[in-house]
Amino acid sequence: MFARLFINEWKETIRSPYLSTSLIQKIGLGILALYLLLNFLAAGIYLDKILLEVFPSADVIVKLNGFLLYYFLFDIVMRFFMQSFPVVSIKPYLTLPIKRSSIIHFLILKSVPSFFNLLPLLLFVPFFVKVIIPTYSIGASIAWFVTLLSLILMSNFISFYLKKAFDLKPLFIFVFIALISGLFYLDSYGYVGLAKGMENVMGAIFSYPLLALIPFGLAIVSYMMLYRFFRARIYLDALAKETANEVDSTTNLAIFNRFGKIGEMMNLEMKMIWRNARSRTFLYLSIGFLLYPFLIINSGYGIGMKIMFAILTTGMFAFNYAQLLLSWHSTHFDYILTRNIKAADLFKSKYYLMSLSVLISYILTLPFCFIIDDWFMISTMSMLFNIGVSIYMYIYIANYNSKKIDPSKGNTFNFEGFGAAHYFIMIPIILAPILIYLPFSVFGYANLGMAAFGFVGIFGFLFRRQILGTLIEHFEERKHTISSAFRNQ
Amino acid sequence: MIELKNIKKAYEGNVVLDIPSLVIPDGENFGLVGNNGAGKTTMFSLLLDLISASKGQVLSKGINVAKSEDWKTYTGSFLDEGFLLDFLTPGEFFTFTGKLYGMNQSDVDEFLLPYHEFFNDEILGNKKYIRDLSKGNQKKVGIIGALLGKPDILVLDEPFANLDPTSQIRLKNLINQLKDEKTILISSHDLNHVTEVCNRIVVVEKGMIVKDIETSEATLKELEEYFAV
Repeated sequence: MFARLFINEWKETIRSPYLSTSLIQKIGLGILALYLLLNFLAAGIYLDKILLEVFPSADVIVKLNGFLLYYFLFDIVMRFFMQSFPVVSIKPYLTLPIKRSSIIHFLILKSVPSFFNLLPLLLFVPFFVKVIIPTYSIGASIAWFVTLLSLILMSNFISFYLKKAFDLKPLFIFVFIALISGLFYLDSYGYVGLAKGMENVMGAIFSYPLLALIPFGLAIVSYMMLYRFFRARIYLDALAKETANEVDSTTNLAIFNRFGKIGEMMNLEMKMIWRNARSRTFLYLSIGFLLYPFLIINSGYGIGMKIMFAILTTGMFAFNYAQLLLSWHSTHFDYILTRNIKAADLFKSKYYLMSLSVLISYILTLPFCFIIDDWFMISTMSMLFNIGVSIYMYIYIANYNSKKIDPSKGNTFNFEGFGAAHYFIMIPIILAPILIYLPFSVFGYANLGMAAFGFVGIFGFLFRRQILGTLIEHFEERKHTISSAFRNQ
Repeated sequence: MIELKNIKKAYEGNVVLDIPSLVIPDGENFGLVGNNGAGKTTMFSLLLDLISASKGQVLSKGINVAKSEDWKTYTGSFLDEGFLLDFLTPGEFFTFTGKLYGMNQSDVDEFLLPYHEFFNDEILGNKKYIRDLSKGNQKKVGIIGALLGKPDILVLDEPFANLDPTSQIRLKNLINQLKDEKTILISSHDLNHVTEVCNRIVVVEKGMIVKDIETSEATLKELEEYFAV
């Protein structure tokens, strides 16, 4: 049964029109993945040396055991943002003679062979072979390894659960991150001893190898938790109920009405963002990113790093939204093509909406200038750069993304979640302003460098008519390809 | 007037539509009939520049639809749910669409007055998003939405499918009322309905026009014989 489900899943993947359009992105991701893998492997091989360097007088095994808990707490959070968890389209299978439980087990088990589960193995297995096996008995070594595998699986299942639960209750993840941060905070001031506790636990497992059954049991519990979560939601109406929402009539901003057809289009987009589960998720997530600059308070980061943070903070909503710039319309794209809407109206409204979001994010994060040096200058220039350069890049890239989505569905049984690919194209957009800034600052004209990349932004904004015109011509060439992909899936 | 010149549409060498010449004069009520996969929707999609022709061109009032967007101001169309903004309520949908054609709220309300019966009081004032309506009600919203902005040309794909019997009859009456003022293009599987509302019927098969008849008493019988295999 699993084999057949797997084959269908494979066919769905290779037959998706999206595959070919995202090939370049996939190659880029592949290179990034390979680089990460090699880094982890190298770190893994020299882990004992590194630990010895950091804690010259301590036992490396004890220190590593203490480090495990930090690693996996961080791992859960990282997976939440980076890992794409699998989903089978369940509807066609519900009425077939396949047990519901099989569908769910398949869905969960499919998340196990993942890049993110390979990373900790690369990091810890060399250490296991080099240090633990020669030091301890076979039983104790096996117990340690079982504990490691259990921790990896637990991390996998818990972040899977968090990611799915996030779609239903977006505030949930903020509470979770706050909890973890609070724990780290208390730990760093010595109120709780996370490392000490974990060292003791692992010490006990070395002494009594059968205790490894406890982490193993916990991994099974986390699996069952995920199973029950899906079991309760595998009915179509249960899914529908959670994503349906009441009609609201508030999302009309009267101020836009002054801008004629483009204002109308902006109002329409606002309604779309607010009334669809997926876009609402993006909105919440972007609001969370407004707190991002807290990370650089008193960090001593250089200007380059601060520019990166400012670009992300002011541009996060625009970036998230632009990922699916045209896909948001995939369910009603023919409406846009046949009604009295010019491509220019569509793209202008999108441009102004994203610019507005950049401006609002900029204003909301302005108070950071009281606590972060140079923040006013840096975020102002970043805001200009986002409006005058980044948004055009998003629009250009959007013309190559003809992935059909159903924006009204959350991500619970939906393939279209966030993944690393999503953040990948952010890299050139972050690097560009730094590259403009660096040559100036190297020769001692830091302020001039800052002005330079802000000026590029102003330039981009002033020439918006011409730049948008070129982008729209590009869209006109591609619109049939895009619209047929939206129609065919 | 709509003119198809030398139109050919092929997917990877597989020809799905091949029409050397077809002229639909102003005011004609044009019915397109054919089995599944015959090319009806492909033809309508070409008229609306939703897909690009492999060869040839479609002229609407003498202008190539692929080259200019002018046809959008006088063409109303509804092929499927892709023509609806599913996250709006029907009321919001009509208002938004009306504004695209320069109408204000009271213009739209006035426009909708005659259709309250067609909507059967289930659609207007109902606080539901279009995506939560039944297929039949979605279709009603789409068809009436296509009439907004007083289009000269109306293109409807399978307008009778999914509608309940009462609504089918009401829709027939509606089309008959519009007959004299608009060029109407309808595709349908329902031979009865299409012969009743159209004065010209074109049959397509495997992408080619095989019959082009002016509707008369004998048309229905002729079509039934053609399709009976």
